Amino acid sequence: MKPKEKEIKKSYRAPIGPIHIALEEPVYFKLDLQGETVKGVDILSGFVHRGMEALVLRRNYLQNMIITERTCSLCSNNHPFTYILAVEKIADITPPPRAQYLRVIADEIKRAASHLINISLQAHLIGFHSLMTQTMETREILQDIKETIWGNRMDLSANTIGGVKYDLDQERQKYLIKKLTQIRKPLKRVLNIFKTNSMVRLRTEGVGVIPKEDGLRLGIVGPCARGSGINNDIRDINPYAAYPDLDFEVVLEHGCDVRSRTLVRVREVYQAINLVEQCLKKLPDGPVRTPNLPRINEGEGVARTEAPRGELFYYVKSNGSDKPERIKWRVPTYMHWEALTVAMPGNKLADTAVIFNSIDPCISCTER
Amino acid sequence: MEDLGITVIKVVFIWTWVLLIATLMTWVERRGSAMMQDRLGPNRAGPFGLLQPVADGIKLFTKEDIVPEKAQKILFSLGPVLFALPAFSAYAVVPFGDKLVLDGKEIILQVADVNIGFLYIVALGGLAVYGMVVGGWGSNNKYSILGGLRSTAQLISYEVPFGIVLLAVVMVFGTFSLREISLAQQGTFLGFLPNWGVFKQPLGFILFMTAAYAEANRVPFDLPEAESEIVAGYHTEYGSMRLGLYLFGEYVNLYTLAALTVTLFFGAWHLPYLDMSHFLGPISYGIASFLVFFLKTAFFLWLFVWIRWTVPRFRYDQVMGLGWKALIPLSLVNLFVTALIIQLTV
Repeated sequence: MKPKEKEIKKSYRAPIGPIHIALEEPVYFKLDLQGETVKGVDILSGFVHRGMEALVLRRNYLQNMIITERTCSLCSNNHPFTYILAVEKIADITPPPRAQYLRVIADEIKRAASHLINISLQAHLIGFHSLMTQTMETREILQDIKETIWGNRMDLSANTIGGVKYDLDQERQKYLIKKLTQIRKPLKRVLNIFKTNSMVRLRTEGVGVIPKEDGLRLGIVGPCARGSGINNDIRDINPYAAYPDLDFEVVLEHGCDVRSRTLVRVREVYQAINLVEQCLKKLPDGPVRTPNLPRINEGEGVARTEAPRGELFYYVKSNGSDKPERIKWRVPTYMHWEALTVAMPGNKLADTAVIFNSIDPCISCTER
Repeated sequence: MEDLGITVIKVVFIWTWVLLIATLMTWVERRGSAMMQDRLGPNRAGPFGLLQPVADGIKLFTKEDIVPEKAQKILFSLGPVLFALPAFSAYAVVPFGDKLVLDGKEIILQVADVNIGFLYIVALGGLAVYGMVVGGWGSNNKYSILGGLRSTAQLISYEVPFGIVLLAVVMVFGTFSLREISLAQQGTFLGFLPNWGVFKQPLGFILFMTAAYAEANRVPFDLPEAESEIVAGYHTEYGSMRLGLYLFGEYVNLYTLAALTVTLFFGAWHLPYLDMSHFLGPISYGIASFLVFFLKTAFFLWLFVWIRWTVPRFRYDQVMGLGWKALIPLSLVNLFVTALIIQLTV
């Protein structure tokens, strides 16, 4: 036989996306497959680019709170929140203490809801549909809370420059406590399946490993970093709002795989509920907004917060007019894309969707 | 040998019956899964949404029949037929009751009492793979080809333990005929246990069920059509009634497998400790045996739905590992132990 005939085409390319049943948002993977094993991955993006960084320059500081909130639905609280923190740094505004606590409450409720959506999607991707619907059903209690207190199921519009836009009176506090007690039982039941079910373990253990060294090199953030044993929790290393007064421990797992990232999220859901309860106990009296906001002078401000997906970073530059001169934001998913090239090769085609979901991708944040 | 007329009536009856149950199963599956997921499921068409399968059928029949431009036309059309045909014919050798005595004539409630009924079923099960492979290849789509290849590997690996377990059952009952196996499960053994296959082959039963789930492409073994991985696999490109044939063939397969489980392991139409033929008239006995058999089958059909919605999907290498590393050795051990016991006791 001639050598040419002997040559078998060793790998082939399978596309996943831009529209694929396992993807929440449009993104395009080109997978190099050898049999069913992934050898390489190429990511193409840009399907949901909306030019937000240009749009924010045409609106004034108050309008930008609205548009940053529309960046992404699941971390829609953190985008305006971080933006506001940066603006407050430029204008040197300190919100009243009650507002600081209320900010944390809104933040943690959104975080719990976001984590629950992610782990429920994981159940869907490993083919466990009933677990997905049950998790979503549990999350519905959080959605009820959001709708009752903030009036919306996704976009809370909780923060404003110099404070918050809502207040919790006695009745709402009671309601919040009641709902949070109510969610604990179904949450425990559902999340225990993620923790203990042997078939869920079989599908997630040892899959999509991002070793600690690679994680540090690639700068991964959020639950992904904490799943690889890296403490990258901005609430802990650079606390903001009311976090310095609150008592919590950073959740760390050392498995580096999909399962540890899920466990981090599972434990953070409990943590979020605890933090909200702590905030309600410590909630100080007083106004929720700074009266008489000053003009925003020339200057630069930088802020970072812990969004559900990881560190969110905002840079705001002001030239003294009512519109910002430049706003740049760095979102957590951006670093995770590069991490996928570490996590995916060596795994099976069947796991690519699970791995992709485990970094909790937010394409609309990243492409803005 | 029976009249041709009676055989034709039986064929028509069992065909209609199986189709009816398979249609109903789509409804049961959707309502059942809805029940487990705090939803309602289809409840608009007819009482409790019972007419939903009819509505689905009309939809599938009247949809435009699209053949992808780059598909291989002949293979593409052949796929669903190759899948549905074995599914529809497999039931022929499975009994659906004992016998009905009409005007002194004995009518056996089974279309064909073939003395190699086992081989027939295993052979048709093997043929069904062609439907998936041909469909997947003909679609000319990477996901479909992957689905087709997965189905080949999976079904072939699980056919082996399936066959070995059946062999152990054959050794226990000493016959290949499904009717004779059913008849042999009358009465008790060891004084208190019903003479059912499940008590004589407990390990065999578990292995058989596992292999049957893999054969039926159901969760946790629904790899060929894993929707979150390869988007419905071999039938990604199919629409209208061609897709209908695939989906329908699957439910017919389920019915056959459930009936086979009952025949082999759960005493077919026999009730434990009770011989119905002693106190029922010939006609009512025929009907009662049919109903008992059907109720048992219905339980196993429900089990298919139940399991589907309560477990996640295996990964492909895990499925193959389970097949070759666990099921085949265990079924061989089962065969060996069965042979040893028979040799020692007979």
